[in-house]
Amino acid sequence: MTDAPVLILGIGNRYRGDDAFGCIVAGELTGRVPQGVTCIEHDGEPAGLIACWRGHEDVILIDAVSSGAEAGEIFRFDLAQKMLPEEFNLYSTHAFGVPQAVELARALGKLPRDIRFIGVEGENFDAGEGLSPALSEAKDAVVAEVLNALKSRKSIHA
Amino acid sequence: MSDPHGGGTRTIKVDYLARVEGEGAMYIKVRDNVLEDVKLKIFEPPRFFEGLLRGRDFTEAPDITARICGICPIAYQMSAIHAMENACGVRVDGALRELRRLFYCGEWISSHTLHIHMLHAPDFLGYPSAVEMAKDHPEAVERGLALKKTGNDIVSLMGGREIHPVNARVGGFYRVPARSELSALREELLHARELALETVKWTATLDFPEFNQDYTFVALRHEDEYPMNEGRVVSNKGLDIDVSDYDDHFEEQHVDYTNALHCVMKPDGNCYHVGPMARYALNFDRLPDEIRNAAKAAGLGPVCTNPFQSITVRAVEVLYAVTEALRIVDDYDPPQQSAIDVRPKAATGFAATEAPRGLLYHRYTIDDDGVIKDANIVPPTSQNQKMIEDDLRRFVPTCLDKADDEIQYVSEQAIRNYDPCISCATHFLKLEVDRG
Repeated sequence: MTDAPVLILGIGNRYRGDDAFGCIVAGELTGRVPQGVTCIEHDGEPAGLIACWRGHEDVILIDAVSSGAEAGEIFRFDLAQKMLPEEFNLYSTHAFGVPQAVELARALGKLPRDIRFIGVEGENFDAGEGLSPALSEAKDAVVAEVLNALKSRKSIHA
Repeated sequence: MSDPHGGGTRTIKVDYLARVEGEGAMYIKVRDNVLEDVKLKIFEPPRFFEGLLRGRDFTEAPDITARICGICPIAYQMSAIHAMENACGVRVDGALRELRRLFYCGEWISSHTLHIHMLHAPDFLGYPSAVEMAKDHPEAVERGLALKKTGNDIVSLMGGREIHPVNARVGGFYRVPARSELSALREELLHARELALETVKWTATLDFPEFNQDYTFVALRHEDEYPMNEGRVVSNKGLDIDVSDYDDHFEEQHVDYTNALHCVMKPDGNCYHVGPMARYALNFDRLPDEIRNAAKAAGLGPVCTNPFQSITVRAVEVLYAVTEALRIVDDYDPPQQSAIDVRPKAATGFAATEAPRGLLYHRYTIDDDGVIKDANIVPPTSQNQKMIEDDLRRFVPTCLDKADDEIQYVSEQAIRNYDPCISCATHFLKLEVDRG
């Protein structure tokens, strides 16, 4: 953990198809983000997530979601204002995943002041590497969106 | 929903049982207010891990089997590694053995803490989830998060990462930590020991239903330590066998309504209980004095027979695991090499280790080239599945006068007593009460 002002958390599993989305975006952003911005790949384990964003007041979570929407559709949520819908929970660590981590942190007063979520609808979460074509397209769009937001020092549109 | 006291059809369906790992369903059949049948159904598809291990190299088993479970991958790695070393006639001792024990402590702390604070405690305090509980009991939830982090930190250090660790291998580890890396855990472990003791005391303040049962407990027992990686398989009803004799005394059975195998004891086909309560009952004398005293102060005798009190037993095991991790960190003298050489030979190897949820048995047959010819894995939840049904068969009749949603609630609690990992056994619960 660092005290960098902005933390980008790419959540997922690189070996489960489109679930790698967050990790790949975080990986591509590493080295391209302004100084002081930290990019981390994370598996989404709730206690780890909460520990990870401690000390940060500006956090962007990037994750693949499975809500039944069209593959590649991009969702944006301002988590400081709004709960993440339960159907976006991809994890099954005893049914305790990213939405629960966010709400637990909110209940404990440990939610960063500014925390945003960019989710992309996944298509294939089977074992194996490589994004679906729709996710590959969305990846370039999300990387560009985050870089633009950081460059202009404006918040990501939510 | 119909009248709970009537003889008509009553059906309760729950599409999602929260706070267990995996997908399953429960069916309760009631006729004229008498319980006739209970079935715990696991409909998660079979995963064929044993099949896909055949033809792979003996060194691959730890990393392949670690993928069976995201909560207890270390247990799978340790059982696979010890079984392969057993087949090859190799024994790993000294600092490498200690590091494996430290690795396992990390998993116990992490897995038990998640269950105690996030999954089980809300049952006793009347909250639907840990998120709601956190609003009224923030100190308990924060304690849980801090303890879990300690467990995760041990696992990350020893395993290379928190989930599906990759550093353990047949013969030892790919990389062993420097003394300074273990020493860096010391302050955190000292704090975790205080938190773990607080947790034991806290669980003792919860209200438990009276439900003491005459269980057949099965666990490992080691000559001088609380069991993790080694020991004989023993029960409180006279069983005392080498792990290699496991198949002579236990049998996996296909049951038509579930995708998980039911494991029973031979020859009578009786169910048995594995996990923290079994370990504790069979190894109370192997706990250090301070841990036994903490357990006693929390209202536990040398044996706990009320599954609802398993939350306190788990808390005692967390206290033990933190204390043991501290001992290992303080005594650590790095080994000369990270792993000893293990040459394959045609043989069958056996091992059982104590996963957080109980005994985890692996058996592999390999050839002279180390190719796996046969594999058998018996996870704790397969062994407990019939036991859970048995608990429900005795517990549900005590609450048949209640409304269906209350029966559902207490039944889910009774299931969560076992912290079942349905993914391991083959994923949540559909509950159906048939009062037709």
